[in-house]
Amino acid sequence: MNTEFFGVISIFIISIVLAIPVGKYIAKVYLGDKTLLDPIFNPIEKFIFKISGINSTEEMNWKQHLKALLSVNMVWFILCFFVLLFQGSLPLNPDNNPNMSPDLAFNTAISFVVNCNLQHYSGETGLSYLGQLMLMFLQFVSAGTGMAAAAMVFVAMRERTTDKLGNFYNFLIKSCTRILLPLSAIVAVVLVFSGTPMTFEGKDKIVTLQGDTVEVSRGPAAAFIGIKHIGTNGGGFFGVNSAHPLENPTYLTNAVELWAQLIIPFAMIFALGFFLNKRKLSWIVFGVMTAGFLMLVIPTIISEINGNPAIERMGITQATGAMEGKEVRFGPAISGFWSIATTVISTGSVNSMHDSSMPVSGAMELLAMMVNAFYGGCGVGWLNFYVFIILAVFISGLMVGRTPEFLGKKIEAREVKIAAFIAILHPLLILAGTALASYFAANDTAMGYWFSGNATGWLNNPGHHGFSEMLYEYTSSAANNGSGFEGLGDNNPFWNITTGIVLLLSRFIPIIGPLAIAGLLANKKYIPESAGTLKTDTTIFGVMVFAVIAIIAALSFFPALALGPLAEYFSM
Amino acid sequence: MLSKLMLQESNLTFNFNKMIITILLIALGALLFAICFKSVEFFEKI
Repeated sequence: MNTEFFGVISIFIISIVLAIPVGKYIAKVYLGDKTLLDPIFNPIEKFIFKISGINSTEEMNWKQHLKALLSVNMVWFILCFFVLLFQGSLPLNPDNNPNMSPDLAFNTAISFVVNCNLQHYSGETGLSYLGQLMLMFLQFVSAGTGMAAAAMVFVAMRERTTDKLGNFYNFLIKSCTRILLPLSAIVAVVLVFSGTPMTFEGKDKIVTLQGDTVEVSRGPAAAFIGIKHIGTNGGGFFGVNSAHPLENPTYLTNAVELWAQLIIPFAMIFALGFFLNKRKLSWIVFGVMTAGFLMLVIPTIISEINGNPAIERMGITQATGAMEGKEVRFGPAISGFWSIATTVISTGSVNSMHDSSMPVSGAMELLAMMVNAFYGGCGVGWLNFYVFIILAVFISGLMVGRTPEFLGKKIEAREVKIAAFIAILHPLLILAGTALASYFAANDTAMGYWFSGNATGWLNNPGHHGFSEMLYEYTSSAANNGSGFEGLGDNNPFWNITTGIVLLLSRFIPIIGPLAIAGLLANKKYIPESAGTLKTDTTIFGVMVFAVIAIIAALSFFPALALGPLAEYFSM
Repeated sequence: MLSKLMLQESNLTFNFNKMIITILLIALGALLFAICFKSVEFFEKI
């Protein structure tokens, strides 16, 4: 067990140490400084901008940023939707996989556009290689979209009074080519050398030790898995994601894939400090996020290594921890750590089945996605945290009788209204969706077109765990996470369409809100710091932000958690 | 012959339903994006 703890702690520390230089590099990219990759990508970028008619040097205000962001994402959604709908007749389909149904294509296209990668299909049988390549393209640009939005907020925070906040397309392309592409290539190379397939050939036939002949799916997996983690996307090439031996062959690849999903969310916080030249602020933000992360990960690891008491009562030893749904080659400690890393960071890839997690772990996984601001996804983690900072500045300003100001800009009613709206939207989408699904399941409603059979048919477990399955699906969608309690029967029109709606609204509106706040603040008159200013780069302020996050999460989600994983824990 | 015709008819009905559902889902996607575009203006005027 000590070896397992050593593995967990060393991966976490290495990720933090490496995030500092990567953060410095990210800040350099967004500041427009020269990088080693410029000679390779500058001519390609110029060509793309020229044929697209985009002037990448034109400064945009926050509304222009958002209109560009939404327009380009809408085009990607339509394109992906049609590729998936007709993939069976399109090239690169050696295994003759069929077209997707319209509702599944709708869900999958939205899911990959919004960086969630909720998968209601199995990659081996549900997608052609063209479909996989389309989704791989979306994994780059969706992560780049989040990072470009965060870059605009960085610019807005740095400038004194302006509405010129850089160019969205420039930030998007720079995020993809200078940051995501090189890091993904490193991960992909490690995977290829560890045995992950990288080919366009169809299924292979192998003879097992028992003498049976089996077909093994393969494809351009290594490249896909690299960006899947670097871009905090999480969509697996194979059905069982990183629990598949070709998707995650060894302990080394497990460590590299963990590092890959942690690195950019960590580095974006340090990039903020380098970009603004306010390193103390970035350490405070990182400290709050790390405190939240540790509060989720420690109970999870403890509950997983202690094993399952219900199974122990059956006379089966739990000396190696709770191993149901876990890979023997990884063990419970690193699987527990992964389950929280992937839910805190919005990756959503799994190396163990969350449906089999202990109830405490399930509660922590849910809570990680419900908070959605400890590290978070590429760029959007910072945007979510920024909303809580605005609320904390306002509340603490009122508490101590000081002017609510953040980085020399007065926080007024409009910014607080937007922040409150965004903070409420996340629980609203989760709880409304869960309430709807629970209503149908509780009444065992005949669902007609929406589901073949009665509503309880989509549940694999009765009682508290069944409720947790439905709560998890909407929480994962709203947090743009993509992991699932896979017991839920989710590939049907009801789940595909309702989670599709939640996915899209919970991606873009929480991006629009912080960008609007940052843009409105950037336009305001700069007020130099004085004795009456509330300092925002202190530990006290960090504690205040943490308290705001904890109170909002507790008030919004405790009743739902009590009905699901907490009730299950007390009934074991 | 009759069963063959019925099969063709059921395929046509299926494809027609599929087409209608596809159009409705595109419209739903467009509506969701329209809500997002509108929220940009909403946040400006809030």
